[in-house]
Amino acid sequence: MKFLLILFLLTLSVPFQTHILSLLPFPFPFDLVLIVTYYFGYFHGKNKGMTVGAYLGILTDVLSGEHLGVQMFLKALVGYFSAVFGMGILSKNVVIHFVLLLFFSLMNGLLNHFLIYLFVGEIPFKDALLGMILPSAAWNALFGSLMVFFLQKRALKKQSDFSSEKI
Amino acid sequence: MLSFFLRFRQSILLFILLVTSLILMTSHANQGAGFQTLTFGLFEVTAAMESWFSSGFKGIENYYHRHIHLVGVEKENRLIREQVTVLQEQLNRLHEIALENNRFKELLKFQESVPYSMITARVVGKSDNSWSRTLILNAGSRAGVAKGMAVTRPEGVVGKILSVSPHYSLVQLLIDSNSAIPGIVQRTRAQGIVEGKITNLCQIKYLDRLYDVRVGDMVLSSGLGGVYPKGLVIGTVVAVQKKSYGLFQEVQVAPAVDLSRLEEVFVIKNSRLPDDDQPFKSIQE
Repeated sequence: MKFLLILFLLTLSVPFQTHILSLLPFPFPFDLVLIVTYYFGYFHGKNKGMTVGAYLGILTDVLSGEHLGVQMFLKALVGYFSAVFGMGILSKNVVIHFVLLLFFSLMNGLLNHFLIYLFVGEIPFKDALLGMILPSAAWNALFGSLMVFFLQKRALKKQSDFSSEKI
Repeated sequence: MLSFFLRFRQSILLFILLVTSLILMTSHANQGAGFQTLTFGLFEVTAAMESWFSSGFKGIENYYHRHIHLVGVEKENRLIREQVTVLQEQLNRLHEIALENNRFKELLKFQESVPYSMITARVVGKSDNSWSRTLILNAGSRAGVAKGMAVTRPEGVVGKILSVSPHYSLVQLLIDSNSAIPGIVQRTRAQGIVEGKITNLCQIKYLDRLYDVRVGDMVLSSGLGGVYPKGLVIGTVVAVQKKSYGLFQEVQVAPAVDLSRLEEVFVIKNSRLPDDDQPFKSIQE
């Protein structure tokens, strides 16, 4: 039951991004799918990170009309590597999340540009880098690190409440 | 053997996922029959979900706007306020119907004025992630929509159909970075390819630097390529830049249609004008 609920919520994150986040007055919509994948990879390990990333990635591909498999590939990689970093430097520090999200967003953007170049055709690299990859990475890092920080704080509070009840 | 799989299960899972995505990417490039069936199925399910979410979200938004601000009302005024709410709701609904009616009248007028047959469709979803700009329409192959058909509004070009499932279709907007429309500058008849940019503008590519193009010039579809009929408005020139080198000039075009507020669109079924065949017939004769 819990699995189905999580699957449903994860699935909703894709239309949530297109409908609700696009209403917010931000110059660039941040990539909720990337942040969710990062969260699952960092805190729940490689298997969940990769699976969630691939699942949300293919949903994004289908709904956005992009070349099928591109986002699936990228988000599976983000899920895997965030788990690798998560195991290496498990930290509560918001700055760590900021740096990692910035890194993963840049990796996602640059690889996306490369794959589009391979399969679809050329998009001017300078335009893509300055007009999209860097600003999106900055927004993702800013909002993603705050979101992850609060989710982490809430999880820790729950854990401490549970252990004090037990005592 | 089993211990090998257990030991390397995470690497194996990563390998399987990456290989699956690579197979999908290459199949997308080849567009095989099996791949088409897979994408139809996936798109049908996800588009239905998107449509459901979209209508649900609109319901919540309407509820919020109509009811939440009345929470702090005093008890003695509740009845009157409820009546006001009901009336307000009815008024809103009537206002919405009147606006919809006006839109439909305009669409009908447009549909009657053009010489090609068209399908009216409602926008039920959208996706504007950083790399692609698409819409989901509630008309699919059962309504006669097919891949490659042009999508338009009375104001001008919207885009073209990218993929179709039985009940839904995906539209690539003209500002999508993969979109390319053969265009012509109305005043000077200079021709080029209008491509989507990463911003909300388009640019005309391969436009000879010797042509005179000015800010404010209207850009129309040239009819080349067979997707968009000749003479549809694409947009207006907003910037012209001629560098000191190169064969071409850089021209930025703002789309004529407000692509962020689309509700109903037309899919052009048959983009060929009735008279288009006449010259060929006379040559054959």
